[in-house]
Amino acid sequence: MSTRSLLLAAVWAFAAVPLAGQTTVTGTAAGLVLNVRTRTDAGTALGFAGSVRFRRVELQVRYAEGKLQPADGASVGRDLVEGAVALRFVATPWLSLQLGPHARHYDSPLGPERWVTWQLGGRADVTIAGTGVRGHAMLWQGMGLDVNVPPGSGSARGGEVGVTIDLGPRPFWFALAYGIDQAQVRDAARRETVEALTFTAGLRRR
Amino acid sequence: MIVRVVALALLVAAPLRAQTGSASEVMTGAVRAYRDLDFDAAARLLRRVLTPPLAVGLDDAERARALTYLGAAEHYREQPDSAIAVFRRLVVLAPRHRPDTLIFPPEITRLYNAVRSSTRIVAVRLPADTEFRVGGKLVAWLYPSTPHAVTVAISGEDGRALRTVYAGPIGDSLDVSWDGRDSTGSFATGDRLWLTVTSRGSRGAKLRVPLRVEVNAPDTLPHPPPLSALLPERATRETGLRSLGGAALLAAGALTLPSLVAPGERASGTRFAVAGALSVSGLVGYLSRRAGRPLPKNAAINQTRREAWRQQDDAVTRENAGRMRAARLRIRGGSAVVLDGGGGDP
Repeated sequence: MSTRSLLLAAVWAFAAVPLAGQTTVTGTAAGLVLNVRTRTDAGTALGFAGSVRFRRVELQVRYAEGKLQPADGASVGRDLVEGAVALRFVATPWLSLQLGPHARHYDSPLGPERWVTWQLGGRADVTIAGTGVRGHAMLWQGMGLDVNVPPGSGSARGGEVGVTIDLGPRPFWFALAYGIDQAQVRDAARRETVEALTFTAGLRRR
Repeated sequence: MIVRVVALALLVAAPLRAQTGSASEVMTGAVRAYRDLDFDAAARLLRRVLTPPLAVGLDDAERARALTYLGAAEHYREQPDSAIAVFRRLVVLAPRHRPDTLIFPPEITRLYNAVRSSTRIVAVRLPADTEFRVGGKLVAWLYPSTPHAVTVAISGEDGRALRTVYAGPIGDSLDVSWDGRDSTGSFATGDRLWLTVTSRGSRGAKLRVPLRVEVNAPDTLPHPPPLSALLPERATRETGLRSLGGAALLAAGALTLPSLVAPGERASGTRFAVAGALSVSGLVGYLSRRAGRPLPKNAAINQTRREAWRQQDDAVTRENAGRMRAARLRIRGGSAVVLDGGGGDP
């Protein structure tokens, strides 16, 4: 991880700890390992995620970076940086809505490439075993897509399905999720599909 | 004019004075006739004195004396049924009355005692007006005609017993106390309550004393409603199936997500990892939540809710008890009414 991401992680940790002492505010902080696959390359990224919840409103932050290697093994790999912020409204214990920007940045010898999407989605949570094991499914639709190479806009959509294991009275939790999204640049016949298998290990503070 | 009014008043007042005066005179004449062994005349005079309008001027002691002479006179007139009926009236009127043995011979006292023994009735003495705070009591004194078993209860306007305050034997006398509450612990208030004394047995009488009970109490807090939203503490068949079904649905969602989001794309096999994890979790959830299995987390949540409810209920109870300590009760008793005179042969 770069100095920039470490700095962001430190800022997040600094912001989350004081909130944990408040009874009405809860927070989580977690580390991520992503297995990212596109049509042409694949790789691993590391990152962190965190959330702060006050009653029914939750703010989520996610950041990861890594390197993707082409499948043919001959081309040059590219760096990946991904970040997202979402504001989530928990309508019921099992249904929530969220909105926020998601950015994906590739650094390749041909130059930087950036995809920015505003995502509006719904998420359903299902209790599987007690309160310790939960599953979730989310679908989102891009409210707008902005790409710099070639400059243009388009549409995007995606989804995620995962399982979370909460260790009960201990503040640790683990999650495994599979997500896929597809972005289509209008008038450019360019389409980007990204799959990600994410393993998350985190702390929860009530 | 004044002379006419005075004359009219004297005309009206004269018979009244003659009647009240004659009750005592008739009684004296009856006693004299009895001593002269003229029992027919004595009985006639005594019946007259015990019948309105002369009876209105008699108090209970004089009435008991007249009944004693009348019973004895009827006995000597060889009218046993009449003598027994008169003595029964006497027992009902004054259960503790005894004929004077210096005046009446043993055969009269024996007959009276036989009637008294066969007539089970209780006299009740109550203070006319009693006022007390919570914790105080109304005391009623009970005197029986003969030792027997009684039931003392507080009854409502409809005669239904609100609380039984005593059930058991009564000998020479009995003090019965009542704290003003019904069987549920609430104050029994009303203008037409009754203290009912039922003498048990085939010849038992029933006597009622009207009570008027007023409570001057502050308002109390309502108790919290009973707990209704408790979680199941044992798994049902549906609990496990719901876990399994939810996990299976999500696993299927993971497998079909690529075709939903990116139709036509060839998805990688990484989604099988999540689908597998979900399936295993669902199986674990199903096995751990099979029907009958205890759900300790739900039990703990329920326990917390019960504890909170109990604390709330206790707080209301304490507060209400504090408020009720300031309450005052006022009970006014009326004259006893005999509902069933306790018939039977001596």
